Formats: sequence, C-alpha cells, structure tokens
Amino acid sequence: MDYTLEILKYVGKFHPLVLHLPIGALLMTFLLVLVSRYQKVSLEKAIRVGVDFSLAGALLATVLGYFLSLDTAYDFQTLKFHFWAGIVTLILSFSLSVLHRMKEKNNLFLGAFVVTLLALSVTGHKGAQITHGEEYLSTASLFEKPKIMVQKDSIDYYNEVVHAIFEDKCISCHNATKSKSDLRLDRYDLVLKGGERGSMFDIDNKEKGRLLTYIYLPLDDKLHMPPKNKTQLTEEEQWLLTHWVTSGTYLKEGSMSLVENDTLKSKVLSFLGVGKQVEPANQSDLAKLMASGFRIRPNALHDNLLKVKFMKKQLTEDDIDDLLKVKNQIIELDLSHTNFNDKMASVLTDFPRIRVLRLDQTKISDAAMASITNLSLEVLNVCRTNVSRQGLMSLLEKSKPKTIYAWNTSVDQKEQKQLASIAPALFNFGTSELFSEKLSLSAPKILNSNTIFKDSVMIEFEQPKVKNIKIHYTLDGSEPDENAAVYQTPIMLKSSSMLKAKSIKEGWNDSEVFEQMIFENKNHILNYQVNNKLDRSFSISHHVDFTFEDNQAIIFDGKKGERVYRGTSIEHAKTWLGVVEQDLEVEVKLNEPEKINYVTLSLLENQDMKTIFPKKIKVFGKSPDGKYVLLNSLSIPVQKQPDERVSYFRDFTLEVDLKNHKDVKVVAVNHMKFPDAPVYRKQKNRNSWIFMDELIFW
Amino acid sequence: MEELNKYFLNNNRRHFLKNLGFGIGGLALGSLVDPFGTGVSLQNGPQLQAGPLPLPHFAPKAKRVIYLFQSGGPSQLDLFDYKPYLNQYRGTDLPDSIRKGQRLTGMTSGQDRFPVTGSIYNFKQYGESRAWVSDLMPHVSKVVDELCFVKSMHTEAINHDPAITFFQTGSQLPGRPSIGSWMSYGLGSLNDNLPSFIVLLSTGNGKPQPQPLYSRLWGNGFLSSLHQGVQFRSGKDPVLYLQNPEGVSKNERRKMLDHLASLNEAQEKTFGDPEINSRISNYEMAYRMQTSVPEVMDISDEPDHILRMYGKNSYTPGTYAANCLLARRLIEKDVRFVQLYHTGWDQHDNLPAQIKRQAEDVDQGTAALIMDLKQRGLLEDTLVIWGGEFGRTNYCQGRLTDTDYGRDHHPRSFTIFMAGGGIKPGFSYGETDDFGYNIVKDPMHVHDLQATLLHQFGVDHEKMIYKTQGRRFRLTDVSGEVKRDILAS
Repeated sequence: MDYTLEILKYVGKFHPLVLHLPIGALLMTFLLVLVSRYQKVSLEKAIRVGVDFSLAGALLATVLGYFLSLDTAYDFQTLKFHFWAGIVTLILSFSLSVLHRMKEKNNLFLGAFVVTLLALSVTGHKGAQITHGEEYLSTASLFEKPKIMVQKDSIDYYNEVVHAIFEDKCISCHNATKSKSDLRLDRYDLVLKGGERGSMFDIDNKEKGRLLTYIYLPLDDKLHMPPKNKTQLTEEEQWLLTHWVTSGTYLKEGSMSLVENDTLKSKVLSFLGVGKQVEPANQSDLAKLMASGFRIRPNALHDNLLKVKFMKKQLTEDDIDDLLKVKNQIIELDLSHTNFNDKMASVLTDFPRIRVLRLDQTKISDAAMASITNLSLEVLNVCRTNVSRQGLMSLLEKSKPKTIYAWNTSVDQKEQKQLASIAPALFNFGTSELFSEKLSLSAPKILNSNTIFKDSVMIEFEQPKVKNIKIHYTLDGSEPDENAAVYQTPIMLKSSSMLKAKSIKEGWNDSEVFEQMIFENKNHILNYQVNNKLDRSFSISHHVDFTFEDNQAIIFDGKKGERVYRGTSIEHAKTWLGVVEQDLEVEVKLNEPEKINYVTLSLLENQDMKTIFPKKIKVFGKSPDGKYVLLNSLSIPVQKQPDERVSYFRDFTLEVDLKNHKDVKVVAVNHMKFPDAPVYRKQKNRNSWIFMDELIFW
Repeated sequence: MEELNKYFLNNNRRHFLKNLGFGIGGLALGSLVDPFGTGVSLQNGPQLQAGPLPLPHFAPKAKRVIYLFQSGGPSQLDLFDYKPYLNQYRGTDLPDSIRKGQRLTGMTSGQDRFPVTGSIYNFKQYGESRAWVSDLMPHVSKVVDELCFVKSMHTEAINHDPAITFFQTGSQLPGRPSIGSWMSYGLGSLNDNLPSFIVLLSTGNGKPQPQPLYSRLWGNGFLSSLHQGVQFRSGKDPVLYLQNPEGVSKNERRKMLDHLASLNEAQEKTFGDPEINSRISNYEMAYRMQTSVPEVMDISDEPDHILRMYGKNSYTPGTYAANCLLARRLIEKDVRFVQLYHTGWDQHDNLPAQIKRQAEDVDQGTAALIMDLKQRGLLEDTLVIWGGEFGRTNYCQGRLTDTDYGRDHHPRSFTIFMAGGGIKPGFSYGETDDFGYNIVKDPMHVHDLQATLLHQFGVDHEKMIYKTQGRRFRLTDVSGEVKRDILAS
C-alpha cells in the first residue's frame, strides 16, 4: 500500500480550510490599496505584507488542492475548470507580489489586482459547485409553486417508498433513541445492517428474509410486525415492501426507472398519491358560501381540502348549488340542525371526497339514505331524524361507513339489536339509559328572603329547573301529597302559617318536603332587655373581628338575618346577635300575652363560624311574686351528620301559655365548648357561639 | 416592538392607499412595506385562516376540548392506580431507595415517619379493557372502554398554584396564556356568537375550604384579550354585566355600540394600540352574546332522560354535573375550549371521608358527559381530559389509623384520563412501580400532554409561536414530545 499517497490525500483534506486564507487576504489587501489611493495615505508596507501573505496562502491552497484531487472520489472532468482556475489565480497573485516591488507600477498593479480578484471569484465559485452541487445557488425554486407531479418515469425506491412506509409505521419504535431489538429503520445502512436477530434479508431465499416473514406472520403472533396494537401495514404497503426485497432493489440505494403500464408503476403512483392532489377551491365560490352562512375551515395547510358547516337554520336550493361548486374539496360536511331534507339530499352523492357527513336533527328520512353512495364516507350522523331500519340497510348496500350515529331515530330497540348483530362496531344508538336510575327531585324553594311579615305577604316559589314539575303545598302543617293544593301563582298569607311543600313529577321520586314557618309580626313586644355582655369579639375571617355591642335590637326588627357564612361581610353578620361563653338570655315585656301561643327562636349553626345550636331552650314567666317560673323547655339534640361547610338556619318553636305572664325570659343554653362528637372533631374544645336573628312571639 | 412596527406599517399603508391615493404605485409600495404579509393581509379573497398563523399544520383529529380540571390533586392511589402492594405493607416506612431524596412540601417534611398506605376502597377491573377503577367511581367504571388512562403523568411543581399554572400555561410562573387562549389564538373560533374559550367553576364537597382559583388561570397572558377565557356563572347572570341596563333597548344599545366603535376607531388611528381593536371586538362579541348566552344556559329544553343520565345535580346550577351538561351544550354550539374546574381534591387529612364526597360530585357527570357526547357523534372530534395538577403520596400525612389517613402532594406520578378526540380508547399508558411512587414505564410530562393535545388539533407545538418582549414563546416552552402511543390509529 502506498502510504505516501494516502498521507498526501489526507493532508489534501485541509484544502477547504486553507483556501479561505488567500480569499480574505486578497480582499483585505485590495481594500488597503483603494484606501491608500483615494485617501492619500501611504499603506505601502501593509500592502506588501498583504500581497506576499496572499501569495503564500494561494500557494498552500493550490498544493493542498492538488493533493485532494488525487482522491479518486473526484472525477477530474468535474474539477478540471476549478483546477486550472486555481493555477491561474496562483500565477496572478505571484504577479501582484512582483508588480508591487517594481517602480512604475501604480496602474498596472491595480489592473492586475482586479484581474486576480476575478480569477479568484471564478475559482471559488467552481470549487463551491463541487462541494455543494451545481443547483446550490439556483434561483429557479424561489418563485416556483410546489409542482404536482403527474409524470413519473423514475423513482428512488428506498427514499420515496420504503422509507416513507417505515417512517409511517415502524420508525416510532426503531429509531436512534428507541431501538427495539437493536434494530434501526431510519437509515439505509442501518436497515441493511439489521438488528439483534441478524439481517432482515436473505440474499439466497429472498421471501424468507426476516422483514417479509415478520410482516406476513399472523396478527396474533408475537413476532408479527407492526405489533398488534399499532397501525398495521396496508396491503399496498406490504406489496411494495415485498417487491423491494424480492426484486433485489433493496441491495442498492438510488433511482430506478419505472416502466410504463406496469403493476409496479401503478402501485407506486397510487402510493405516492400522484393525481390525488386536489385543486384549490375558487376564491369567489368560497366567499359566496361564507356570505350565505357557511363556516369553512381548511383541513390541513396544503391539501386544499375543506371542512364546511352551515351555521344558520334555513338552507335554500341556491345554497346547495353553491355548495356543489366546491364539491371536490369538501372532506367534511355538517348540515346538522337545519331544514335539510330528502329533496336536497339528492346532491349528496356528488361529493367525491366526503369523509364526515353530519345530518343530525334535519328533516331527512329513508329517501335521503338512498342518495348516500359515497364510497369515501367514513362517519355518518343521522341522530334525531326520521331515518328507519330500511334506510340504514339501503345505505349499507351502496356505501361503507365505519361509524353511523343513529341515536333517537325511528329504529326501535328490537331493530337496533338486529342491526348491531350485523355490524357491532358500526352503529351507535345511544346510551341514555346507561345511568337511568330514578332520581329524586330537589325540594322547592321560596324566593322570599324574609319570612316575617306585617299584615300580609305573597309567597313565591322559585321556578323549578326540571320541566313540568308540580309543587304541592299545605299551610296547616299537614304533610303535602298529590291531593294537596298545586302552586300556580304566588300565595297570599294573612296570618302565621306553616308552609310545607314538595315537588312531584311522574317518573321521578318526590322531593323532600320543604318546611318554612311564615310569621306574622303582631307587635307584642313592649320592652326588652338582653342580659348578656356583648363585648366579645367575633372573628368572621382571618383578619376581620368585630363585636355585637349595641346590636340587641336586631332580634326584634321583624327581619330574618342574612344568609351568613365564614368570610361574609360584617354588615351581613351584624344582622345576627351572637354570644359566647355564656347562655343567651333575653327578658321581654309583652302586650296582650293571652293572645300568644308560641315562642320561636330563629338560630344558626355553622361549624366554620364556630356557631352551634344551643343545648336547650327555656322559657320562663314572671309570677306575681316577682320570681321567674319555668313554663316550657326544649332540648336540642346535637345534629347527626352536619356538613362542616354548610350554614343551617332553623326555627325552634315552643308552645307556651302566657296568660298571666307579662314578663317573660327566654334562655338559650350554650354548649360552651363544642360537643365531643366525631362530626365536630375540628372544633373540639373550642368555645361555641350561639347566633340568633329573631325572637318571635305569636 | 411588534406593536410599534404594526403601527408604522398601518400608517404607511393608510398613507399610500387612502389619503394620497397613489393608485397602483401605492399598492406596490404598500406590499413592499409588508412583503411577507406579517401585518394585516391585503388579499382580496376570503380569509380561511381563522387565526394569524398558517394552521393547521396537518389534518386535525379534534375540533374542541373539554378540560375537566380536578383542582387540588386527586389521589390516584384511591381512584385509578391500583397498588395492592401498599395494602400488604400498610404502615411500613417508605424506603429511601424509592423516595430518592424527592423534595417534600412543608406539610410533611417535618414528619419523622412516612408509613405507606394503600386505599381503603376496593378496586375492580371493568370493561373489555379490564381497567382498574376503585369503588369510588361506579359510573366512570362503566365507561372505561371509552377512556385512555395515563398513569405516568408527572409534573415539576409541588404546590397548587405553580402546578395548576404549569398545567394551564406550560410555565410555573404566572403571565403566560392558558391553553384555551393559545388555541383560540392559533385556531380561531368556530362560532362567532360565543367566546371560543369558556370557563365553568364548581366547588367540591370534599374539602371544607378548598384551594381558591383565580382568573389568571384562564388569562390570555401576552396574547390579545380576545382570547381570554370567559367565565360563565351559575344563576341569573351567567356573564356579569352582559345584559343591557334597565331601560336600555337593544336598538339603543346597537346605536351606542356603533358610535363607541367609531370613537374607538378614531382613537386607534391616532395611537395604534392593538388593544383598542380587541376592545371593539369584545364589545361586539358581548352584544352577540346577549342572545346566545341565555339560549345556551337555559337547560329547560333538555329531556328528562338526559337529566337523569347526568344525575341528581344536573339541574342544580353551579354543580359539577350541571357544568358537565352545560359543557356539552357549549360543545354542540362549537365552542373551541370549555374548561371546567372542580375544587376540593386536596385531601391532606380525613381522606377516606372527603374523597368519597368528592368522587360523588364528579363521577356520574363525567361518565354521562362522555357517553352523551358519544351518542351525539361529538366524541369523534371532541377531546375530553380529566385530571388534576399533581397526584398524592403513597405515604400517610399525619396519623395513620385503621380507618383514616391523609396524603400529601406528589408530583412524580399521577393518573389522568382522556376520551375522544382521536385518542386511543380502552387503553392505559405508562406504569408506576409497586409503591405507586416512581414511573417505571412511558413517562408523560405536562409538556408532553400539551404537545399531544395540540397535535390532535393539527398543530405542531414547536411551530405555534408568539413573539413578545424580545423572545419567542410556545405553550410547551422548550420541550414537549407528542406521545404517539396514545393516539388512535
């Protein structure tokens, strides 16, 4: 082996590095020449160094270039021009060195310099064409539109076909970062190399190579490729891969010619999608469609396909005609929720590329189904139309959709089962009955915020959210049922009443009973006094504290308190009266006590606010000797399952006989600390508050 | 800077085209000033591109999203990620070999023991896909064959605010646009009468005082305020300040808006602030919403069997189930991105009791939504995502008793599920180790999820870019990989 030659060739590889030295140096020196000439500064020394350095660089570059050309990879024909141009440049730069040393040189030197630079440019350009290719600077592609290739006489089988198939179906598992079985399919050399089981090809028995064996294994076989749960190869792709191997094309990369009217050619063309490219739709057609209420969206950036939906309700024949002008571009058509009907449906057959067709909630019936003959159709939606079993059957004769949505159509349950047995995955008849447990209605609610009134009041119920609900109510305390009065217009009340109501509807469980005492304020209170010190501060949120001092009147103002919760505003909280670490004690002087039968305390429980219903309520009357005697008491059990976040507003009513008692004392006995019950575990051992918003005698 | 450029471009074009009327010469100059059409397009044809970007990059599988965000961090170990090993070794300490120095929150970093615990709820396998679901989700377990579980989600943040912000905007720090805003910006609206990004909130019953939510989670960041999420409330006024004030008729409103628009346009000419244009569009959108919103929010046209399907809360406004029903109504109207937030999944203590109430809130509504979309043929091109901002630890926070335990935040692995939108149904992606602590197979980072989501909309996440403040921004920042394994073929 001739090591000298190899070494020279190796040194030659530095040619592309060194060649830039003379280029830069010559240009810089030329700049110095111009400057010294026109600015009248003497730069002769620098120019001398410049031209000499350029000569040295050019010499070195030429020598290395010659070494590089020794490599047989370069055909001498292609680099001939560059070679000679290089020699000329070298000679010219030598002449510059000489000329600069001569006396009468000025104009000749400048002229020679210009010629040198020209030669340099030519050399450089020709050299670059060798490394980058002749097309590198071609401007032809700049203004060219992407061409649709219809003619195809030759093909780079590996790159255009095989690699495209691998890219689509295989490379996600066989690439540089993820190489299942050590196999990579992202580069030609690695494809040939194979994986841990060895090469994928068998040169002697081409059909028996691993590549072909694995792709034709049964789907359930562990070695079948692509694996069962991945996207499978199409028949066309299998055929193309088989051809690639069996014809021996796999042995080399590069172009091969395609014979006219050959199976291979037609398969390749169909694979490459030649001729499938769609022309863009006419702009004025689109503008017209958009103006008449169609929403048009591109499918993808460059495929010119369109997704079209009609956004209004009333389609006209003209709209349909306009739509036909872009029939070739439409891939998805949505005419749902319109007046689209069987007559208009006759045009459906004219859309050659339609994949998704939505006709739900339109006026179509079986006749329209007969018009759907599009083989491209994949998804059809006819929900909430009058399409029946016959229509669907006739549809299946002419078209092969993958999914049909036919919920709420004229297909009855028996027919649904029958159709589903023909093609289980094809039909979707809906699943409304999946979770159809009988539900309870929610209890009615009243809109009145204050349940205490003077003279009279109109009680109004909130409009129920579920349709056709009947609200039955009673005012005498009896349980409401279907026979009770039905709420239609607001109820007028003139005296204290117990309102009970519930919602009833066929097919639903009755709601819970809504209970609310509606009180008439009869002004029995002559005077009152709250026996508590109200100086303890209440913390309504992290940083906001206040006291209930001077807030006593609130329990006799004839108004219920606001719906409060932790974090509520002080104004709302102050519609209540709260005490802590003591029982709430109120003394009252009454007017006409003989007309009073009940006393009601309106109270609040909310764990977040550390407020709980009292343990007990006691009502005392002052006997003539000035002592209070117990008239009645009510024990309040701790709530069983209170929700820690919820505010409970509740009225507690005690029956009292006040005939001889003008002075009455009401005591709400405080728990003092939160009871030791699991539901109150967060507030355990904390001081508990009692909140009252009204004390009513009636 | 971009605003300034646009201002000068606008001015130049106006100058040449309108005021001086240079004719053809002006036209030529106009296009010279803006040769690549970065400013407003001069094309005469209809603009098919809804957004400013040439999208979609490739044919999309999905058109709309419903993102059921479970705020607080649902416990994957009590819902979907079945770990019998944790029950077997209940009470033993989490080995350091598993924890690997993982940082903890301040809430458990002081604990001297980390006893692991399995779920006290039973798991069973359901459907043809044999997916494990706990007894907490009886309805979801009936629809597992529609779902794609991702058991290997992981995130970078360990506390609520940065973690939710990360999920919604791709960055832990506030200030970037939410996913819905990005999609509104890139893909545009499908319905001119409703915002393309709508937000519905509900409060969970699990936790007494759940973590709060804040409107910047659905904010537009540096994008135009047109792309901001619009919150629809329950109750009388779904969108605040939308209805005309008393005594103002629709005609008067129209006149007022027209006049206001001309004033705004004049202002825009002078100052060139693009937000003025956004404001004009917002007024117009609000005007159209005056009729479209009440229509979509009124559920009285829903038949009983649909209400029954969504469960007893479907007709109680403001609940999760009611919001699921609304989400379906909005999707039917082609709203691009509907985002629900359900708070209260933050079970640090008292987990068994709290998570039961919490799961009850969402179970039936979620399952019903998926099946309702399916029967209407909407699940084909609607992507439903259910998941929180992180998972919960396999060890107990606080005292472990026979009936009670709590779990702290766990960003290293958790479970979400998706349905529809071209995602593989009846599939489970990724695995965690026997401790349910680390991911052992197919991890899915938050940015991967976002990249995959955008992919389903025909968007290359590396190409949806907005340049502001001197740099280029993406939803997926500088990472994210489309996880093709979960895509339906």
